[in-house]
Amino acid sequence: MMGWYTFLIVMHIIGTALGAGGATISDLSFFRSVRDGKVDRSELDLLKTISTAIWAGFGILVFSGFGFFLLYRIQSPELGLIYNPKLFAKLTIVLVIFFNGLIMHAKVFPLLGSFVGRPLFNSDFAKRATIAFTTGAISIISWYSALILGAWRGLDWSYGTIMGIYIALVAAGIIFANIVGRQVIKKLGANQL
Amino acid sequence: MTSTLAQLLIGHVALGLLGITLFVMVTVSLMRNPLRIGLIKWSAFLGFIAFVASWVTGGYYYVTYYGKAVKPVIKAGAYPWAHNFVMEAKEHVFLVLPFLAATVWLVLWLLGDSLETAPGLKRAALFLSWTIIIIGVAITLSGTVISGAVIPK
Repeated sequence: MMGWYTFLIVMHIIGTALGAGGATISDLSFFRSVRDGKVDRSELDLLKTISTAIWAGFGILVFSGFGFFLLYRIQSPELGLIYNPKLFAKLTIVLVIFFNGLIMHAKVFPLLGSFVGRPLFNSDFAKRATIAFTTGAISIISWYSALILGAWRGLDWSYGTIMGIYIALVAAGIIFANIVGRQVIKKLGANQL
Repeated sequence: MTSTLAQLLIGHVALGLLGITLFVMVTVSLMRNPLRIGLIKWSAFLGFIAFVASWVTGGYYYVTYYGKAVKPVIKAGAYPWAHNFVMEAKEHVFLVLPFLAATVWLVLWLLGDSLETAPGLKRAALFLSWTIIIIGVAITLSGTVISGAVIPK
């Protein structure tokens, strides 16, 4: 019979796969959607469906993660496994994923919704799209960072080192996504004129 | 720890997480267009129930077990501040959650049908719902810090 530990591992993997996979597909779908210079209703609905899958993955990840906490707390508290820099770094990144996802719902989907059927190659969209490029970059880098931290057994870096590398990656990702995103919009504008 | 107490601790954590999850649904649904009023109302109601149930299970565990068996271990360990500061703060701040949740639930239950036509009401409900999420996350992290500090020698 499957024990609690194995069950939690399986759920944690499913949650991570849904989340990291969903974030990847979401970013690819976003760039694919805007490539033709407009977002139509079906493309926006697809992005919302992927977002639902990511939230489901996130929920499974969080509940199974706290399942591990409880298992350690109840069965083997003497090991002191919870006070661990890698675990705290992962928790911090999961918090970033959570609030970043909420910001996406608050800002990015309404922005895309307001441009359904309208051309994207204008200064208004270019100005307001910063939030979409930024949250997209934070999402994908954070999901993969959490995945790598979870899978990397024996990593003994300090919390500061892990978070320093993570922040540097997020900063580089945000800059890259904004540069590429703006180039795409500029190129679309030039092609349309 | 007896199996009943272990189940209460699991229930306390799971119900608290469920409450936050349901208020995330309230928040995200309030930001969507068109609004799904039924989903928003029921999520707020069930979220409120989850917070109250988390309070009851956690409260029983705290009163009957934490003080005599857990607190001394934390205070004698490497992280006594986990009780002296974090638990002391948590046991006061968490009280806000069920009452805030009840407020949001009642407002949405009684006035939910006016959300589309009253942007001020929607903004206020959204603000309270965000507040519940932020306090809920802070309480969850506090619980993790407290549980992690229980390291018997």
